Amino acid sequence: MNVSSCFLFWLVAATAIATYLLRAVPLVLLRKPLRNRFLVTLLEVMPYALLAAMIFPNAFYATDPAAAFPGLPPWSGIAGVGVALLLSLKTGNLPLVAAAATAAAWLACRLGG
Amino acid sequence: MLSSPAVNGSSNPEAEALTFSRGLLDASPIFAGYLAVGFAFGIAASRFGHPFWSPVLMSLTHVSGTGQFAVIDLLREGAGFGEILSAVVVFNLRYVLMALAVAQRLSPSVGAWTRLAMACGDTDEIVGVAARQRLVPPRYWFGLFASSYAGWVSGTVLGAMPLVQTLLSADLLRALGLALYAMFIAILVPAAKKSRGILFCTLLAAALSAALKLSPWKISAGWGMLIAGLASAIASAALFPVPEKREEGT
Repeated sequence: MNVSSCFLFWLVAATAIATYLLRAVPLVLLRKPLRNRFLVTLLEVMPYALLAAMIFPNAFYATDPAAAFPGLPPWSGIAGVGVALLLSLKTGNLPLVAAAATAAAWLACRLGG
Repeated sequence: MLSSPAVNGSSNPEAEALTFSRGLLDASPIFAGYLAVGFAFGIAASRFGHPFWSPVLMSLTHVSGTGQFAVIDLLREGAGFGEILSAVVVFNLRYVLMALAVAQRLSPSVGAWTRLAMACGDTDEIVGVAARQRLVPPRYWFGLFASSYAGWVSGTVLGAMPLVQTLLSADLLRALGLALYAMFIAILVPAAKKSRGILFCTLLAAALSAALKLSPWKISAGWGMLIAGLASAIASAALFPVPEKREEGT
C-alpha cells in the first residue's frame, strides 16, 4: 500500500462521515417504514452481493501479500477458504468458522504453503 | 422530578427494566465478538501496510466491520479515493434499513439530539439485540453501544500493536489475514442457504467480480466490486422480491 498519511487520514475521515450520515439521517428524519418492495429487497440483498464481490476471489490470496488473482493462490488460502465454506454450510457460528479457517490456513503455512 | 419513571416515555415496567447497565450486560457477547474481530482487523490492516493510527482511527469513527475492511481491502489493491468512498457508502446503505428498524422502536418523545447520538451505535449486531425489545429506551441502547464499542476499539488497538504482533509467529500472522474473510463467508453462506435471492446474488456477484478482474477493460478494484455487487443485487431484487408480509423487526 503506497499512499501518504495525509491521503489515508482524509480517506478515513470521509468514509467515517459518510457512514455516520447513513446511520443518523434515517434515524432522525424517517419515522415510517419503507413500503417499496423493490427498494426493501435491494437494501437487504446488497450487503450480501457486495460481500460476495469482496470475498471472491481476494480471500484465496489473503495469506500471501505477494499473491494476487489470477495467479495461483497459495495453498494456505485454498485451505482456509475451503474450511470456511464447508463449515459455514453446517453452522452459523461466526467465531467458530473464523477460528477453524485461520487454524487450517496456519497449518497449511506451517507445511510450507 | 428528575428521577421520574416517565423519562424516556417508558412508563411500562417492561421498558423500565432496560437500564444502561442491563444494556452493558446484554451486549457482553457482542463485546467478546467485537474484541476478536477488532483484533483480526488490526492485524489485517497492519499486514496490508497501515500505520498503527489508521485502523485505530477507523475503529473509533466507523464502528463498521464490513466498511472498514472494504477500505483496507481496496487500498491494498490500489483503488482511489472516490471509488473507496463510493464502495463504503453502498456497503453501508444497509444502515438505512437498520436505522429505520430502530426508529420504529423509539418513543416519539426521544429528541433529535438523542437520536443523533444513538446513530453512532447503529451496527448489525447492536440492532440485532435491541430489536428483541418492542420499545427501546435510549439509555439501554447506550449501554449496548458502550459495551460493544469498548470491545471493538480495544480489539483493534491490540491487533494493530507492533508489540503484540511480535508475539505471534509469521505463519500465524499470515493465517490471521484470512480470519475476516472467513467470518464474512460465515455470514454469507447461511444466508444464501435460507434465501434463493441471496444465493443468486452471491453466486452472480462472485462470478462478476472475478470476471471483471480478468476483463481487458482495466476496471480498478473498487469500481469492479461496486459494479459486480450492485448489478447482482439489482438483478436479485428484480427476480426474487421479498414477500409482501414481512416478519416484524428483521
